[in-house]
Amino acid sequence: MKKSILLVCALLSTHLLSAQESTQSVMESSGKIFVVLATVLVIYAGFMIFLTVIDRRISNLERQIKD
Amino acid sequence: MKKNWWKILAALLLLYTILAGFLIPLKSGIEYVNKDNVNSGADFEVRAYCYNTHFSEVDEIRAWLKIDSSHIIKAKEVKAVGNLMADISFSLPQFLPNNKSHVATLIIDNKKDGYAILPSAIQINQIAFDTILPEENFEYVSSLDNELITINSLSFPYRNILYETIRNLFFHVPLWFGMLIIFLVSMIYSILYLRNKNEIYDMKANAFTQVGILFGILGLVTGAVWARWTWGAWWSFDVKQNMSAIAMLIYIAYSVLRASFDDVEQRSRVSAVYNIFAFSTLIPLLFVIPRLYDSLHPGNGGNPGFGGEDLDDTMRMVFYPSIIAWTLIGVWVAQLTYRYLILKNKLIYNRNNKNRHKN
Repeated sequence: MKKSILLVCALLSTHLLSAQESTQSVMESSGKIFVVLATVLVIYAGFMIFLTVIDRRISNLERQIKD
Repeated sequence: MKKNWWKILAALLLLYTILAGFLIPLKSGIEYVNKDNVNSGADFEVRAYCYNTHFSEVDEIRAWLKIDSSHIIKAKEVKAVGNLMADISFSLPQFLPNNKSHVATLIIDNKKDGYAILPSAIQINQIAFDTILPEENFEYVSSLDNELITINSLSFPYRNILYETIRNLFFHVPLWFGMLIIFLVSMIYSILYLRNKNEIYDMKANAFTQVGILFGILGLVTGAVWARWTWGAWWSFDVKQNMSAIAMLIYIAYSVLRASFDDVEQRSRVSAVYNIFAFSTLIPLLFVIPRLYDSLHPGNGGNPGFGGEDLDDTMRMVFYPSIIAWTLIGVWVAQLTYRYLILKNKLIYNRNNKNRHKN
């Protein structure tokens, strides 16, 4: 499972790197609206990671209470 | 439910921020013109490349070249080329005001899009003439007050370079406002801890600091994304960027400091004092030092903040609710964190008690 995820990530990143010029043109298109989208996605990712961390800590706590 | 009304408010305000922030359109604007230098006494045609305009849908487009507040030249003819381009022809007087060269502002308006301005659009050079026309009666428009068409529908201001990214004001800036409020609350809890020595205050301060760090890091990353496509680089070592990164490092050191103590009371006391110190460095790092140096960031070093026409009433209508929304979301997440910390503390306390009874 982990290996396949890593593989997909690697493929995606090489694809992104080779397509850097098209990324540039996408970000500059439509009045740079995709920059705003990227900003919102960064915040979304940040909150998701933070919530996952709290979630994992609480699961840990629940396991301790059971023991 | 009654106790949690502010969580519902947070969710609603955030929804409003995202919807209004994305759906309200931008005003029309002039991106650039294909001529930047013309000579006095000549007729010339210039093509204006515009944003968000609907030239082919309107009957009449008007245009002016503004030399100064009382010398404005009306265009002879404006032809629409599709929706976003217009060919504008002007004829210039032989002698400009004060017999000097001027940099003129281009103004275009029409009934559908309202008016758009491109400051310092075209330089008009005063050239010497061998034959001077006997009498030149050039007709200037003396004022455009009450003349320009404004549209009343909701719209955000258009800014060159920024374009639609002006909407980031509702996502990047409130993170910093929220962070500031959250760190302030954290510091207040630290002071309360030092006064009352109640462990719960320390846990609350810890939780708020963690969320503040999350906000600060997100603020840095979103700022870098915004900068990449407006300033041209992810990190331009701008004084505002550097100082906020330092402020974040100081707060990350708070977490490291906490982890380095075994004794609970000592940890709480030292980290409370450190937290007060961290907040008192935050203010000069974010609001004093950047103002003393040249900075690309709005609001610093000779660079005006979002204000005046940048932050118009429509922007404020979304901006202020967005600050409240992000702050409340931060408080919510902080509350989850400290509720967890308090539970964990209780568990450890109970376990220690049990062990003591056994012994």
